[in-house]
Amino acid sequence: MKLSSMFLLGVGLMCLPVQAQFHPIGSTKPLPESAVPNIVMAVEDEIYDYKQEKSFVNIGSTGAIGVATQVPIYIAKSISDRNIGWVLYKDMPHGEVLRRFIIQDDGLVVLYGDPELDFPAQQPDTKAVYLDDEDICKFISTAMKTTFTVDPNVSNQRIADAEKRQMRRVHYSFRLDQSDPQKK
Amino acid sequence: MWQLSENSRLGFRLAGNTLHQGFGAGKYLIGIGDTASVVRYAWLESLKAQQQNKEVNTVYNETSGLRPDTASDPNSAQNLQTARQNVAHVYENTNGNGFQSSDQLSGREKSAIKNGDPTATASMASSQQAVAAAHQDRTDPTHGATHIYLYDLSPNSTQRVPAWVRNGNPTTVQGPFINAAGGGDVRAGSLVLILTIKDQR
Repeated sequence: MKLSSMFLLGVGLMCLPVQAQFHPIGSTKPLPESAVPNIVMAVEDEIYDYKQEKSFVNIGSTGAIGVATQVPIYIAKSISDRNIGWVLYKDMPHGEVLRRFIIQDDGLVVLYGDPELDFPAQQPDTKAVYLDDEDICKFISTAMKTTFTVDPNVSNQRIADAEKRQMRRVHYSFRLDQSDPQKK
Repeated sequence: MWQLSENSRLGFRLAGNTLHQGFGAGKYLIGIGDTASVVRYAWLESLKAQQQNKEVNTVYNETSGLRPDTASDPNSAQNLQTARQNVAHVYENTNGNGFQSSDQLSGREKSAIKNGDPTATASMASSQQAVAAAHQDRTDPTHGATHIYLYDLSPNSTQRVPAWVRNGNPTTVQGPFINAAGGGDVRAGSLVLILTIKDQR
């Protein structure tokens, strides 16, 4: 029986908790170590492309007043057979976010969620504030911890690299779109 | 008589009291009234269109990353259309308040639509159809649902289902759909369900 019709039939299922009703599909595998730098790069690229680098004041190792800051990031140690993983980090000015990512065949990592939509509660890629505290603590305790860097004085070359990779990832660059003379 | 009722319809009740000033003044007032009613009608229509645009944008924002999973269900495309219609019903049930996301399109999505990205334009057309269909269908298949929730079916899913979802009643479930990330190069993606949820009362 098809999954959708199976669920539509079952008014009785409404009594069961959501997680008990819907079983995961597929299998898992360990997160390849080689993917970690690309995950970090995807996070940094998005921050630079959306001009968020000056929003990290009082966050991370230095507080980001004029100098680069190191910000913790937590990455789930397993990914799905579809190369989907999960990451938790402070994405200022949005706040702490839990997001999915996908590792493409060429190794490039694409983050789920559109920063301009501000990670709403009803989407899987959401702000930690919408989630239960215990679940966040559990995620942090089981994930691997590393850091990403945000430099408020990021170089033009680094920004250009970020724009280029964002175009590859999502066919869109916020900075390039904003600087489009046709939009002014 | 005609002038009185017409004045009343146009919201110029006092105009009837001024008729003693002569037909010329009455005609003048009616003339003003007609202009005002046209302006007001246009304004109301504009508000209605803006509201409908917000609803379409919301449906689009929630579902534009989803693709039919025809490998597991040949009717997946139709189910996705139904899912969008359900999202529109939830929007109407809550006057849009059931959604934290913006009712405006992001720059990324505007750009995709402007550049004729086939997936984005198809998602927009589908969202418009869904909103129109939800307006016509007053039966509300979501049974008064007040929330939607995208549930990730990945086996390693660390999606933390919040209490309002755990405690609510799912009234419809559609999917699984492929939740794509990126601009179209991603062939696979996460599998998700779209639930409409009614608060437990």
